[in-house]
Amino acid sequence: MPSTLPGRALVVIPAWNEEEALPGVLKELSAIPADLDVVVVNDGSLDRTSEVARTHGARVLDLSVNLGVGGAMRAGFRYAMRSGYDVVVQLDADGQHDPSAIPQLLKALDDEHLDIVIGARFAGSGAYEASGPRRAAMRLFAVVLSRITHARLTDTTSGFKAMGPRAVALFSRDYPAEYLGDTVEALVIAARAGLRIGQVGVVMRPRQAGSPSHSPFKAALFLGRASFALLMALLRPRAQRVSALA
Amino acid sequence: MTLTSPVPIAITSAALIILLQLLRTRRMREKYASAWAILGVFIIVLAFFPSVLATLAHALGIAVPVNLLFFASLVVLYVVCIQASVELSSLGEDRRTLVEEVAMLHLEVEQHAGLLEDLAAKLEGRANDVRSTGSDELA
Repeated sequence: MPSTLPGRALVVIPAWNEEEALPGVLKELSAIPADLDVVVVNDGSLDRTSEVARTHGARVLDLSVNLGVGGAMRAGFRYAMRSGYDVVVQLDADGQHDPSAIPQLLKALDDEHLDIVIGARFAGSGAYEASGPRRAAMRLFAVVLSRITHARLTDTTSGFKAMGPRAVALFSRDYPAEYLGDTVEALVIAARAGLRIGQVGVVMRPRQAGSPSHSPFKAALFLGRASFALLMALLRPRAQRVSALA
Repeated sequence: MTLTSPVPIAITSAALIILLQLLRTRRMREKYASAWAILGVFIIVLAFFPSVLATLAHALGIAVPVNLLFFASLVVLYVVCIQASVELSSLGEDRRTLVEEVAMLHLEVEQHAGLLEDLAAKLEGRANDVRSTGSDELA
């Protein structure tokens, strides 16, 4: 049994068919010198993701149908709210995100009085490269979202993020399940609710299992869908401002 | 267009009766039926009084009356489809909330079961202690 007292931060790992990569990620997490609890949100996996997570000591939220990353994350945010966690860290299950960067994210959350800290791939460290339409889309998001959030953001589609109390409260109510809703649209929602957003450079690793999709057709499709998602996010009616808690 | 044709009247009446039956047995909710009902009544009126269509078309500046019929039908179909999509999205959102809720309850039950097991083990241990001390005293 995990301690009944909640740790300072809850690491939420949305996982869909990640039985191969997940054990490595969980092992790395347990080695981190920070007060972290871990919950794996099993997003309707068809493999043994849930069992694997349990045997490695993680708590598991089993979604009975696949809801997508946004759906899995909102479940995580709501669980965090209900269990009394102040801070949520979103971490991918495929091993791309290095858990040892979590203390850095948490530190930035505190030191810079931010509500959301993004672990950004293009911010100096690491050798992440995107090309073609995908790169163009990422640039576009970086420019548009930097303006909206009044911060210099270089990697808005990163799924490696730390969220403070105000962001957790907001996202447990409103976290889109649409395509790219969990990254681009979520940032728009947060910025409009008056949350402060920043970033920290992190090293991204190649996925530990499974293969990434990098065909030019898929990249072009990404650009189209992503632009549409951004446009819709900007056109949505504004959410209520989160009252200043901190 | 003076003779009233029985075929459209029969078909539309059958459609309306089916609609009514679906409503009566609560297999369809009233809010989805209104568009279909309006279309059905409209067609029956036209079947009895075909001249209405010509008059309406003329008033709207449509040269071929039947085009008005096609246009009106398309509008109704469009409204019904949009309504269905909106309902589908809202159902998806409901489902999402329920799935989250079930997952959280599942985890909670699991944790409570674990706590109960620990408690049972502890109680059993204590019972054993009491038994052994009791036998010590007897010895």
